[in-house]
Amino acid sequence: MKLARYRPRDTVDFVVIGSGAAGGVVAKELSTQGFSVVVLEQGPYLREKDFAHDELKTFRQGVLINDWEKQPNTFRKSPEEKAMRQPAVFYGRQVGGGTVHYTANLWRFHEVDFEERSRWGTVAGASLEDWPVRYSDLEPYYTKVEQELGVSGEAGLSPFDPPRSQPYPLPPLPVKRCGAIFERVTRQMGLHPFPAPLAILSQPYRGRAACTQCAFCKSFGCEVRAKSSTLATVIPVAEGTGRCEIRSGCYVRKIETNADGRVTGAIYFDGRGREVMQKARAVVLCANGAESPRLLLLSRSSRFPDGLANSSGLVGAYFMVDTGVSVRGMFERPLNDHKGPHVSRVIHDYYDSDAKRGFWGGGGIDARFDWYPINFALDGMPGDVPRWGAGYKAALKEYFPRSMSLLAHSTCLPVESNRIDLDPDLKDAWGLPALRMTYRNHPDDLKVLHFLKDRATEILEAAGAKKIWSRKIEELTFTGHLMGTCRMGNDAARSVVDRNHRAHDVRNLFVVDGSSFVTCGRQQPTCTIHALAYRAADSMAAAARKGEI
Amino acid sequence: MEMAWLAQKHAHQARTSNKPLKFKALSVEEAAVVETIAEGILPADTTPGAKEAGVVWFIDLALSSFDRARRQAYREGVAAFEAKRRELFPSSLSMAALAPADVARLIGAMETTPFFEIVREHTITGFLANPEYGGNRGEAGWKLIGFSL
Ligand SMILES: Cc1cc2nc3c(=O)[nH]c(=O)nc-3n(C[C@H](O)[C@H](O)[C@H](O)COP(=O)(O)OP(=O)(O)OC[C@H]3O[C@@H](n4cnc5c(N)ncnc54)[C@H](O)[C@@H]3O)c2cc1C
Repeated sequence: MKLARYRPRDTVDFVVIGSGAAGGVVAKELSTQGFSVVVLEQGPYLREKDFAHDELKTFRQGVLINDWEKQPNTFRKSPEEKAMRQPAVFYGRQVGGGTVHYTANLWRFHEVDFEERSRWGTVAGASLEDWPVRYSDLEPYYTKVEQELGVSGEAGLSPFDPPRSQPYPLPPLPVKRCGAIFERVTRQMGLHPFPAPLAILSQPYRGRAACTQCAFCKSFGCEVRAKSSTLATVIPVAEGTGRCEIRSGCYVRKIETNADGRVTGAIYFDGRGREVMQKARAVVLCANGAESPRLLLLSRSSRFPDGLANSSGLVGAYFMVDTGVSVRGMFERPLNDHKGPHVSRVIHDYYDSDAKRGFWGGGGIDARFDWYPINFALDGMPGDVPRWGAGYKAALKEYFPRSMSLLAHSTCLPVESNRIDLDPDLKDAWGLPALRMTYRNHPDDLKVLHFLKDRATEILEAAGAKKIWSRKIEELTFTGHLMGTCRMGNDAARSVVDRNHRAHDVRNLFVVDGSSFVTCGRQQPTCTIHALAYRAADSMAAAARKGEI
Repeated sequence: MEMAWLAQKHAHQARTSNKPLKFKALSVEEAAVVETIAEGILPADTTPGAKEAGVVWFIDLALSSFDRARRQAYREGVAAFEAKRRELFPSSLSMAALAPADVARLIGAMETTPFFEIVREHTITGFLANPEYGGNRGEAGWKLIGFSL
């Protein structure tokens, strides 16, 4: 296989910025459809041999995520405050992006997720809108995600699932003990548990091995390639075309434009800190819900003084995050659930909003064990266990094998003042303005959390947990699900990209990733990011073939 | 990849050298104090505690590599523990010579200090990190909780 290598002065068809959930898919689709592609990824190109079962190294060094020393964030709750330096967003920073180290819950959004405004109306203090695409527009692409990447699950068990044209290509992974308990109890309660759809192979698939049931999914890379990351799936296909170059270690600082207002390429710092400009006929920005708006704002010019593609003033606005609440239970007998993928059963009975509850929003609840020894010992037990000594040691021994969590993954409303933008003072290690996050949960977000916490607690009580605990519900200040900052929409005054992800203001610029979301779904955004990317790439390719870019 | 390399080096030395391992960041006296505190946090009972699991070696490795910045905190923290020991148990000769119940009393008097938090975090981390880092010898920590790689 001859790998494509382009010179920066060669004008390639597409530069793709970021190689995560969206970027990997876009690169594969465009290159297999015959276009020349350069993917610029700031992180390293890691291989399976680089993924170690080493909790200390993975967390302490943050090997797979962004580094707040070099790329600091600032945070504030409201636009009146001065933002203070603190970690605010985290994401996978390597070829494959967040799909390398994520937990791999990969379920489709429901029909309601695309039409919240028409179904519910407005919510004071928020901008609840319909998407310019519907579930039916995405259905063929969701199918493509499941088939091409490899997703394990079982269709037809949840009465709340949206319609689908094909079953999952792989059967569900084995149930965990916490999943079996959850399934039995929720069924007794009249609820509808079903196997968690996971981007993890339950059987060998398309030349990749099945999951070996080790303990290391969340926050780790999979060394047997059973996790269906873009690194293990579509990126090798893109490279195999001989038309797609994955250029890692390239931190893009600006999308360049000319006097006609067209994009001409991207300027990046290479591994040695030199500035390089890669020329391209079009740019596809896939740097995620936090870095994509930041890069558009960094790309200001005399023609685009407020940042690129920002005539609406909404680049960075409507930032949405991973609201959720974890309720934990400890049982009389050991569950020994640390092996295998973390999640095995889910319910969607509380997914839709319900006017009777008196607030907008809902969510799913899954049963999981996603702890590792060190973080469990430091953070996983209730506040009333002793902190040291014989009592602490005994608790550790009792709790680790006997605990499970119910994670409620829920909604957060799009609020205009919740934003990602540039910090006016702080700079990163390359001298670029740091990412600033302004965020305060809408009151309804917290009401949903209280509601779901009560539901999860009921389930653990019915399951006979010996001890049940959870953290206090608080406004969120740190997030790993990054959504909504370059909204899709038909109205150029109220959104950043159109229904095909083309920037309203710039004909040959596309933005597709978590930033495209209009509303948040019920967390687990990645399946929808993949599907949007497949759909966007199709329409970009069609437009390019017709000379309409 | 500094950490993995260090861990390998440490494990290699422990295996191949017939000389006893030497501390790199801690003095022998400091190490004895730190080891006693660590054992107070995770004491031996029917299963090994921090001492037998080698936690002090993990802490020394941390302080000579990825946690170098905390060396000074250890220097001062150990001295403060020693001062408290002399205050509470004037006739005692050293931390290591205290009875377990007295160690517990001493820790109780120090448990709200930032230094104790650091030692606690290090002790628990070392006890449950991969054995190559020196503090989970014989997988003592993992055996306690029923974990395996
Ligand atoms: C611990 C954890 C667990 C998760 N579990 C789940 C889960 O179970 N299910 C789920 O649906 N989601 C999960 N997520 C979220 C998931 O990782 C993201 O939704 C997804 O990866 C986002 O895809 P994306 O394409 O928008 O961006 P990313 O995957 O973040 O990709 C963006 C890429 O762009 C690169 N980049 C950014 N800026 C630049 C620049 N200026 N120049 C060059 N490159 C740049 C980044 O390095 C990155 O590789 C999890 C996240 C975390 C942190």
